[in-house]
Amino acid sequence: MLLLEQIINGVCTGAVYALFAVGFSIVFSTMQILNLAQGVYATGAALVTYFATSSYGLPFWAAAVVGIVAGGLIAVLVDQVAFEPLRRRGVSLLGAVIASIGMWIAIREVASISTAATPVGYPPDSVPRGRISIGGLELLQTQVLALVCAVVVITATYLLLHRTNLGAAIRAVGYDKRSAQIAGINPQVMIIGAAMLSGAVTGLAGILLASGQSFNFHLGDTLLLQGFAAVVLGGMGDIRGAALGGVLIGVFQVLSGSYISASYQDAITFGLVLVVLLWRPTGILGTASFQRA
Amino acid sequence: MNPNLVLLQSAVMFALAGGVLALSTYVKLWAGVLSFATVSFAAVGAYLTIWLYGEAGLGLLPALVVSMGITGLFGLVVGRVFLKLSSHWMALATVALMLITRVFVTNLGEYTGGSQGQVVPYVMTLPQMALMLALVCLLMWSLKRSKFGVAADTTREDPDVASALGVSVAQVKIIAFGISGAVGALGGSMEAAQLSYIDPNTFYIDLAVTIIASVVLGGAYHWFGSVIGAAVFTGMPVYISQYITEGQEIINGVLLLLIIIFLPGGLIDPLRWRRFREKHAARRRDATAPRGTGSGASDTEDPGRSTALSDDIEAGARR
Repeated sequence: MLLLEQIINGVCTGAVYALFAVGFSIVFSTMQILNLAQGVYATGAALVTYFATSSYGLPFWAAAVVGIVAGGLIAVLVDQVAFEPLRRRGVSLLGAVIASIGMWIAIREVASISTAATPVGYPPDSVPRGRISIGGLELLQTQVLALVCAVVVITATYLLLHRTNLGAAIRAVGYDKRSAQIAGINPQVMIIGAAMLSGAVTGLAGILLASGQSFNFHLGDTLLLQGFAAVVLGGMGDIRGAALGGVLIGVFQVLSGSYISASYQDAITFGLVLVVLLWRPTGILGTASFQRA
Repeated sequence: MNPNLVLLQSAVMFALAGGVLALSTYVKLWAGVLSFATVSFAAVGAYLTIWLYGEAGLGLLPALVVSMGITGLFGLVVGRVFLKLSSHWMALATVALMLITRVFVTNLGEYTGGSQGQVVPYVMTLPQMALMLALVCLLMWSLKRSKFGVAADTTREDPDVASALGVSVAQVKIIAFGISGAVGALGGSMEAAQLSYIDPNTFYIDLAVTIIASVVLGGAYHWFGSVIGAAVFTGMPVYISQYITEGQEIINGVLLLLIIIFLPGGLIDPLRWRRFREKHAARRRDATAPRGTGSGASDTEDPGRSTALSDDIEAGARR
């Protein structure tokens, strides 16, 4: 029973990582950008939600919607300010990585200043705090919320990208911008749309992670690293892989923390990531089209 | 002493330590590898130096040399293991390495002080640090002229062409990691001396980003750029902290963005300089050589034109 409880805990934690990883792989699959600024979308969304609840007294649900929109807008801002000029000049992948580092440290500092670098938390009565018992298992409401949100949003994102014309257009732009343009797609709109979607999904991950604890402006950095791990495990450029990778990382962390060593938990997780990276360079569900070794 | 002068001295010393760390990253970039491994090397090197100096009772210089040697070997091993990964997978792998290093630093409290951190037992003076940076620069200068330098340049520009020309790409990259390890250990020890107190967050993301920013600002095409970049990103913030207390990172981030958009080759870009010189020389030739005097003028112009052409070919290969 304890093992089952641990695994469910891991899945709930992993659901947040999965959301983040999905946001990350939307950018990667449509723009081929390894975006290190992704973490600040999560921080930004969580902070906007915090200010909306604590300063403006909005209910948590409404504040979360505001936060998600803010996450999307930050992503569009980063894309237009940092990546658009590079796309226009045709600068290499490495250039985009470095530009995203620039946006990362700049926006993180804004977040740090806005909270005076101190930890904040949502007002205690605004977030669902109770426990739910399902079949004898006690779960926190925030955990269940995270799991439900992740399943719904990831499924919706997958269907949007793979079952609708809009999704096909976004993927076409990612595959070949010029051909997509010839086929009558406006690449600019699609890229902004993909950035917005990615920022919104990532923002939701940030809001969910922040709802269970107090957090500071480093919130997104943690998510960024776990999200990387998820993407490496699951394979880049595939939403299903990223989601699976996120859940695996969550479960693995909880299990290695309770059965092997709590203090070496991160080393074990990232050791596993290294092993997967070196041994199976396309990820567990990785597509062969993108070579990484 | 005048407080302003104290601050300036501290800024210069941070810049010197940052310069050595930036050069450690530069060596890998030289061989075409963007990596965060320098912070891991710096952490390993700094904690080794502290242990050798404090516990094993070595002098500062022997401690540094031994620590550089061991970390250099560590670098070779890392280079060998990560060899197969290409561009951003390599970057991700070194991010993982950085995280793992931090976990070990936090947990090996007996040697590192754990999450509380520890006081650095040794001190370094400004001239000592300047000498160390100078020695590393000397190393870079001689590497640039060595077989390794040429091989690394070729590997960065085009690994396939390099291996077709008989350069062992694998060997160049592994050696670059080894040198980076040794230099990174020195830089980490200097940074630790200057901070005088280090904890698991010392050698972590913030330092990694600062170092990468320094190298990018300086430019990937000449080692001296990294030294200037380090002065801007590690020295200057210390000095101007008396005027600007917060928001320094915003300036850094925007600066980094502007560089990558408008100066993708960095500040020290030998190619741009050479183009500038060429243009300048061409203008001078135009001014001195009378136009339309027939064969005489074209004879004098030919050598100049041929070098300009070969430069263009080189530029085409490079960009």
